[in-house]
Amino acid sequence: MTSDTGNVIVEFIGITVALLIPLSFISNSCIQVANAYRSTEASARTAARAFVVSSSDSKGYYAAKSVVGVVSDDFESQNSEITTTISCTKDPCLLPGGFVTVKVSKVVNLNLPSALGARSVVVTAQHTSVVDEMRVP
Amino acid sequence: MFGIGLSLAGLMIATVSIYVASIWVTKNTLDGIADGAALAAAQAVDVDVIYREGAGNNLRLNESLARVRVKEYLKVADAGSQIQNLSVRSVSVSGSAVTVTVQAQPHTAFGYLMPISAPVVVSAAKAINKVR
Repeated sequence: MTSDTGNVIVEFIGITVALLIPLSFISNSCIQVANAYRSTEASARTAARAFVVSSSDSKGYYAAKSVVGVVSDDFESQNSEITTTISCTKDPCLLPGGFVTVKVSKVVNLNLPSALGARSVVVTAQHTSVVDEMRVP
Repeated sequence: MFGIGLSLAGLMIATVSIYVASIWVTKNTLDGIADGAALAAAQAVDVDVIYREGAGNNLRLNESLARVRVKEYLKVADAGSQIQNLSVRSVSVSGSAVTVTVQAQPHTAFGYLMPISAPVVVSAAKAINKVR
């Protein structure tokens, strides 16, 4: 019969260092990326909607950028670097029947030890909205 | 032995997590595409009805035109590059409302390890064109 005695302190420290600490880093990074993904997705969708219901292009750009800021604030990711790109199929953008695409990119700085090298991930989302064909110019 | 078992369990959990995350991301992206496509389809106003019966309170939509608008939307939004195997399941018009249903197969990183067939993610969105 083999003995099953051991040193519980050594085993506890071993499991904590080898398993729990890496697991906490990985899960923290996953949550950060998922949060950024949801934030960019919601930002792009809401910004595109805000743009197409605006009364002019300049107000549309302003509304879209404001919306991206507000949504990022809601997701508490204001400290990340956010880039918003707006493109249109017509010029001016708000011509009836045109399409407006808003692309939001966010740099997520992961809370990883610096020894692991690259510590940031870029998350991108885009949404296209149609300009109402029967809108009053 | 304990270490090997723990590593295998960890790998299995990671595989299933990545698999589920792929489906979740596909579902989210598909929701956005269905949403935009439904709004584009809601622009397919049946002008002939307006000429015959007047505008009224609700704008009647044209189903064949709605399909064209959905197709045009998917092309302009470059939906095919955002999601794999995307297809339009149905576009149904009921008066001034249109429902667009789209489907896609998620790109699952470890799908070949799963003992089930590749899942199909479906998303539907409804839009109404009202006279304001």
